[in-house]
Amino acid sequence: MMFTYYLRKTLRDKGFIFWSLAFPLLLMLCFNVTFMGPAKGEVDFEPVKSSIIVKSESAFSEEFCNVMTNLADAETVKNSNMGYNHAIVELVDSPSQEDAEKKILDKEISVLYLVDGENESVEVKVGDGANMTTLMVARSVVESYRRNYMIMKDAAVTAPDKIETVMKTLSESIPVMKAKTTYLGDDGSSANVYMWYFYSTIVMGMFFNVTSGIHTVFDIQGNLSSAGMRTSVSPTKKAKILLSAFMARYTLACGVTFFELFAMNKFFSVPVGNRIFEIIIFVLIGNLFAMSLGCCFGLFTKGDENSRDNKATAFIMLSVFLSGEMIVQLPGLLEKNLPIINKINPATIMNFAFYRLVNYPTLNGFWMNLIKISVATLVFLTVSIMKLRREKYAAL
Amino acid sequence: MSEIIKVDGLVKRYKELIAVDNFSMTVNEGEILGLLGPNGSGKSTTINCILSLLEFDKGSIMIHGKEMSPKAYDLKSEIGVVPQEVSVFEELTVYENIDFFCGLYVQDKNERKKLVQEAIDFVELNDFKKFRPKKLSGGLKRRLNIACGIAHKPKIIFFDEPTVAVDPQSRNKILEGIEELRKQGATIIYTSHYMEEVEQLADRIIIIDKGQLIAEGSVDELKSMIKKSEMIKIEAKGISEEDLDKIRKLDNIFNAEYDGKMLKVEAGKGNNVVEIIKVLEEKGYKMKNVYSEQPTLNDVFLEFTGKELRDD
Repeated sequence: MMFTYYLRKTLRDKGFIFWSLAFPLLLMLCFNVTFMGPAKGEVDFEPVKSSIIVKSESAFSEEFCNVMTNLADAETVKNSNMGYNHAIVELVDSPSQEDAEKKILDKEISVLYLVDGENESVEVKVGDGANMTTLMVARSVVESYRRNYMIMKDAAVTAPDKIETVMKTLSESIPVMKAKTTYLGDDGSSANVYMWYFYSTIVMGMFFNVTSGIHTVFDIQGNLSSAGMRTSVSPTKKAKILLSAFMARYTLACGVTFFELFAMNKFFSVPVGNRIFEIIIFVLIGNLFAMSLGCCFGLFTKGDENSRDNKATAFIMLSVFLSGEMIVQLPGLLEKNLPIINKINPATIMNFAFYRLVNYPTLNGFWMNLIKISVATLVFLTVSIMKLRREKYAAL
Repeated sequence: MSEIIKVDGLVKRYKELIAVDNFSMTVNEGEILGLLGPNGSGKSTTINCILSLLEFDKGSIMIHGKEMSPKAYDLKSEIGVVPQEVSVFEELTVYENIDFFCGLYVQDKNERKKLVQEAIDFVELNDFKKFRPKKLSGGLKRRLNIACGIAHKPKIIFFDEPTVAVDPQSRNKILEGIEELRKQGATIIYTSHYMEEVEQLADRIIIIDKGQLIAEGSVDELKSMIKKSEMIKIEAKGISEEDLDKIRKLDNIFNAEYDGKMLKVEAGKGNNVVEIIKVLEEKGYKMKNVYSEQPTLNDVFLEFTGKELRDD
């Protein structure tokens, strides 16, 4: 009975519906319009004028040049699964690095790729006036190439008999990072802008459930609300009421996040991967973290319910902002200048966890990030329960 | 009547402030006990201690001879509370609110359905069952607040200033409802700083100030405890200071004041009006109207504490 009523109560809570459901979906729509055009719209663009300078030769540099040649060939691009009917790059011959750099300054080319075959790395140089598309194409090509090359190399050592299959798969997957993407640096990995904005929005939606945690303690705590007082004087055990109120909100919060993931994937075509079990764990832990943090806000901050809601929302906004929800380069900048922020900011940790879950072949980073959030959740829950037990008003 | 609640030597401190100071009281079965005191006198703190919402520093609280504690679930199931603030969920309808709070006491769905309907009938909210609280007027909200506290048919009901900010019509409805609950067998503890309400409802009154019991008894007993038993007002013109002094010197007269139109005399027990009129007639004063007012609980409070009861 209590569970149903708390469920109903939360469903009719306009604040919950707006912040946890409507606002994230609206933001996704805005991102979709901004990055993909108002209709289905792929961003159409002119082939990016590029030069390649090979500093030292190896199989790495040779394959890179091949890939670039393919990307410069309209027919090859058309026949691939890239979704474009024109070349991605236009290769311009440059005899030397100096010459290529001069061309960039003279705006004859937009991107210069410096390929170091021996060290298996590619340095990208762009001009000051490089637009977003140029940046996206340049970084996308390099990062995907580097990753795929590593996989091929690994396959050649571990499963040489399957190298052909691997190469075929990879040659098809290189263009997956269509021109809508760019990358930013983080802790050694890279992130896709478009996906990052969406993932960040999912995390934001989850974290807004911090207010659900606050409302839960207000509903049961006699010194916080008069309704809480009423429940405290009843013969129903406080722990039972707490569990009902918490679980009702938690169930809804998780449901809303799953719906947002579904909407993100179906309506905005943002990949969520196929690791269903890990996605479920991600959603469960993310929402549990938000609600347990909310319980702490409800119990340890001062002011009425609205004031505590506002404080918690401000905290979440800051956390989400620092994770790159508004300025995608921010986590990269923080990584360079103040790396501790990325390490302790829950929104950044969750964003990276989800990004890794969807895009990375291994899940080590994903699990590590989830463990960090789980530990914080455990701490918040323990502290909240201790506070509720020690509270002068009817104990648990 | 048997003793249903016994509070003995209750002390509650908030750091340096003593909110309840060695307070003792008993509540008898079936009575309406009025707990009267100004704001901040310790009424709500006492109630919260009885309800085990607050820990207290000293003393004991027994209900039905058992010690009241946060885990005394059997005792809690007999108690209903109507807090001062309207304590409902804004997101739930009138029916759902009553059902939710009743459900904290009654698990059986069918029984609850019957009880909720009875509560709705009792507070006459049938036409508003599907309304959310924010669509109700202040008076209707108060009635909903009461319904949420009494739906499970408690034997002991605490009303904490249930008529604050309520229009006179709704106030009368609420007071009639409380009378009805008593007739149905409930024991009621009614706190208020509205003395008229307490005077109208309560079988017995406890006056509390600064956390201490000031006086206890029925309305008549309390009034008989004070010296002043009558306020006499006489409309008359031109009473001289000399004649005013004569009135002041009469037996049983505590004070007499004259503002040029109205003579106001505070008197004790006795045939005071006759004596005063006699003096005025002898001096040839023409009198228009003569009023004699009985002392109020405010007079009782004033005499015991030296200050007015009502502070608003």
